[in-house]
Amino acid sequence: MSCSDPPLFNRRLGHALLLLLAFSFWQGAQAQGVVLVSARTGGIAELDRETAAQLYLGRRTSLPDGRGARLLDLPAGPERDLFYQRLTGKNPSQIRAYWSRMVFTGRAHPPHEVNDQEDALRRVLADPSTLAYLPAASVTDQPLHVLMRLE
Amino acid sequence: MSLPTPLRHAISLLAGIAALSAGFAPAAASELQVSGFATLGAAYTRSDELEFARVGIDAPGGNRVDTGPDSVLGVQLGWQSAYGSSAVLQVVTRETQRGDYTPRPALAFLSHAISPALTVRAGRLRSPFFMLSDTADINYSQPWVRPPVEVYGLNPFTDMDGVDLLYRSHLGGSFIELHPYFGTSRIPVIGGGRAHLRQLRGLTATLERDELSFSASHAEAELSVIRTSQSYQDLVESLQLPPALQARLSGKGARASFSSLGMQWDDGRWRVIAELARMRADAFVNSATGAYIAIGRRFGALTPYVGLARQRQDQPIADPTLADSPESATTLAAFNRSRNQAQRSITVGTRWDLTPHAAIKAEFSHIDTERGAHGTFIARGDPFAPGLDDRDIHLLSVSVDVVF
Repeated sequence: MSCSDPPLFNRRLGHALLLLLAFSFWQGAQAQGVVLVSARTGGIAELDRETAAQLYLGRRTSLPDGRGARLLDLPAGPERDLFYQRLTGKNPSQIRAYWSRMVFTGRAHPPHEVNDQEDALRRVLADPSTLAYLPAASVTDQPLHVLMRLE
Repeated sequence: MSLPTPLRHAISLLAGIAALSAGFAPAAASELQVSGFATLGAAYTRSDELEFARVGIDAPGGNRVDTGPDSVLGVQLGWQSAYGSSAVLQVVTRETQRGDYTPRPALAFLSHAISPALTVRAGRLRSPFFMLSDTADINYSQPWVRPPVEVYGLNPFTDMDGVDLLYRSHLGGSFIELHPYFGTSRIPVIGGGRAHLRQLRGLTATLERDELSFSASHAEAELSVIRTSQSYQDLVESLQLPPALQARLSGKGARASFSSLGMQWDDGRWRVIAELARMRADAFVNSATGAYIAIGRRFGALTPYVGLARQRQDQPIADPTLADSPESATTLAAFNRSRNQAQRSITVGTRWDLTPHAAIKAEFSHIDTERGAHGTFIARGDPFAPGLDDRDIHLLSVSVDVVF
């Protein structure tokens, strides 16, 4: 192969650009972070980090005021990994092992996994006791409480 | 009219779920979740006389490549109301002590959160005698193919019917769980018969702080082991054992206790798991102590690990010097050998996380059974034949674990 072979060169360049683009999106998720949110109307107005971590580790199911909280998980991906890493200090493989122990010993029910970010947003707005995490950039114009920012 | 107990439990639980679901009706307020786990495993021992078995859990293989010890399938239905009540039904199928694959509810309970810190559960529960007892089938959550048999072979009672409490609390950045339980447990005995734990009561305490967690556990129960196998009947008849000695081998009303101390370290890169456990009984089974340490290191999707383990016998089932003839003493010593799992082992292996829901594992163990012990091996032929103890045995195991 040589550099004078334009199609191959272009394809390689294309792959490199695609990779770069994917990487910058991933970087975007990392740089902007994710936010834990609830509905602004009637939703959970504040939540400390320790309680949020306990909820997402299945170690409690209710808020300090006694109200039950419903938790949502995004599908597997960089936002989910970032959220758990920053909130609980556990990496994806630790979290999967942890939750498989919690579920199959009958200790806790895992957060409900939504189809996508729109689904999460729709569910949060529909139910004031629901918590979800979303990319920070995606919630700017929504009627949500931002409970914490994890970057 | 006389349905098997597990089936009756399953039916009553399903009826309970149906009744509760109907009561709380709105779909938004309650949720049904289906999940499961599975392992397809194969273990290979190169021995013409002995075959590997997880004593008290599965049946001896019969083939040199045995899929019985590790293969397992579990399906779980979880239902949760918005009012702190939930129900879980987990049905597990794996090779049983009888060599079949009859499904068994491993979990079938109703639970209620009395307060944010305190949950009460009633029904079929996993017995939490040792640190990892209640996740012994969930191989996906661990680095190895199977929990170290030197410790987990001390406890063949994997579940119990009863009541437990989960008290969870936070103290200065540490998470504490206190887990008292009360119930009964019943399992079949290899070859024939059954073993019972009655008036089982125990407490497990767990403390987790950042990367580190500790667990301490103690349980006591009344043990009965009724042996009906042909080899046992032949033994008793041929020896004409005095009644006092017979009563040491099979019967009711022995006191048994299970204790363990364990620790785990997991910083996302290194994983260390270590435990010391002891099982004591007045009669019917031997008393023994087991310990292990396993260290794994994550390199991306690969987690190679190495483990050291040992089990030592503290007290044989019956003292052969109580026999009234040299022949009886010899046979009794052979019976003790076949029920003594004392051994030491070194295991090296690796886990490969293939996808977020599947892992492949392969491990090699060098096992050194002690003098006077068959270790975790069952004789292919006459279980009381001499010379089956004090062996060096290699065991190769591979498995695929999935969760869904």
